[in-house]
Amino acid sequence: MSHHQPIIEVRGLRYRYEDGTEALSGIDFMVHRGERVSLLGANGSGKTTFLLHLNGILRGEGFIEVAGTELSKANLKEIRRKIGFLFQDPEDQLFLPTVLEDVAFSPLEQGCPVEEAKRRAMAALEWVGLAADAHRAPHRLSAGQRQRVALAGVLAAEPEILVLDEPTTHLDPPSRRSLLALLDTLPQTILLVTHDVAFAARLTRRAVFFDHGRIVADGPIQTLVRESHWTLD
Amino acid sequence: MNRGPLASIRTLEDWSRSDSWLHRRDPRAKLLSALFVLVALALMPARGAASLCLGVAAAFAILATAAISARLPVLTILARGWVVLPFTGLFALLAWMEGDPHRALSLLAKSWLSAVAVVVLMASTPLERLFAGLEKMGLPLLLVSVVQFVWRYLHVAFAQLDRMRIARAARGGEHRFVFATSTVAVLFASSAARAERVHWALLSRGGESHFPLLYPLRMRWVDYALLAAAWLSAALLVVSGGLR
Repeated sequence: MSHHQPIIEVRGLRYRYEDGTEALSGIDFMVHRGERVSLLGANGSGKTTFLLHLNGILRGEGFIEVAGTELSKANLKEIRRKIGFLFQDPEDQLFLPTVLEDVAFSPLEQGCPVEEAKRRAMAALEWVGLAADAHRAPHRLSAGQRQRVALAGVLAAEPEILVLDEPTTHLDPPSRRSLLALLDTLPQTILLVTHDVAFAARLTRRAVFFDHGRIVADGPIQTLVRESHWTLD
Repeated sequence: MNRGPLASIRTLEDWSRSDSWLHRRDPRAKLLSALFVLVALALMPARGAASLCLGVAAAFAILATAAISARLPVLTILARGWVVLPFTGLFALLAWMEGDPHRALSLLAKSWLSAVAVVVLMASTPLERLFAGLEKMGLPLLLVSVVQFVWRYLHVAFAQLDRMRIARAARGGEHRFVFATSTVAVLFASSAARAERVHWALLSRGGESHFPLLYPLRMRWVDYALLAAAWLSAALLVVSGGLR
């Protein structure tokens, strides 16, 4: 696929919660391969709801295409291989008894033989600097280590796109710096939801601003945060 | 925070990750061996005081041997078995009050030894291998998954409970009953919300309802030898408990 073709294309995406509240009111969004984009906006503005549509966790009305494949019920598995999702709280993501098993989960689900899954998991753990903790239980790690294990679990699946939902929420400043350094070396397309504007400005150049289920601004992050009065600390 | 039941669970986890002859055995062999001992303890007649003492001594010797072969701290493991006594103690008390002290003592001894057998099993088998063994032995996948999730998120629930306890103390809360009931409600609601997020994460990572096994299991001759030894020990237990 060419670098000029969008890797994610969304047109007219609408979604209502069960109580009838409109969460997304016609989202049009496009991102190109290798691009890094921050999704900014107040709590409840629809950022996470939007992201959960990209891999079919939530299903609204509208058109979604990921890496050349139109999202439909039939190809959810294929789409989920292409998008790696890092959730806000790593506790939600690390559900297996040991770090190695957890990181190897996606490769095994993709049908990798056990040895290949272990190799990919160990390579991902090496990359996040936690290979020595492979046989520890996730709950024995610090919050920063858990976040890195969750990232290793996402990367072991070798996705084309990384979606990061408020990844710095539970991190102290050194862990935050370490995560930033790790993410900055990745070649994948990155979508980052965060309130941490300084983190976003270091990792991405482009930002889109969500407000009441709509994208109300799209442009360079420095300009956008200045115009929307979101300060850069 | 590292205290209370959470600390006990963590110690058990640390033991299970040691290395010994027993640790290296196939989990299915250990699960079945433990089952043999549990059934034997339940069937052990122990009709008189002497036969009860003999049966208890035999069971004690078998379990101590298992703990020593797993390089576990025997006295601590034996002490861990007392965890069941608050539950069986009530029934033992009823039996005593009905004028049957022998039955009361038999109940206490058997439940304690059964708990020790389970502790030895868990202290010598990492949890993921235990689950893999259960799955291979045909336990319904849904049940294995549920137990696995409960074990994994027990730590998260305990940590939250601890935070709520500290928050209550910080706000000067004194009504323990009100706190306990509201805690249950809050924990239930937050666990339900977490369950939804965990499910989203599971789907996002390409999972469905089945956890693939990273540790393929293989029964070797030495695992069969363990099974045979456990079966013989169980038979010995029933016989020794039946002697007059």
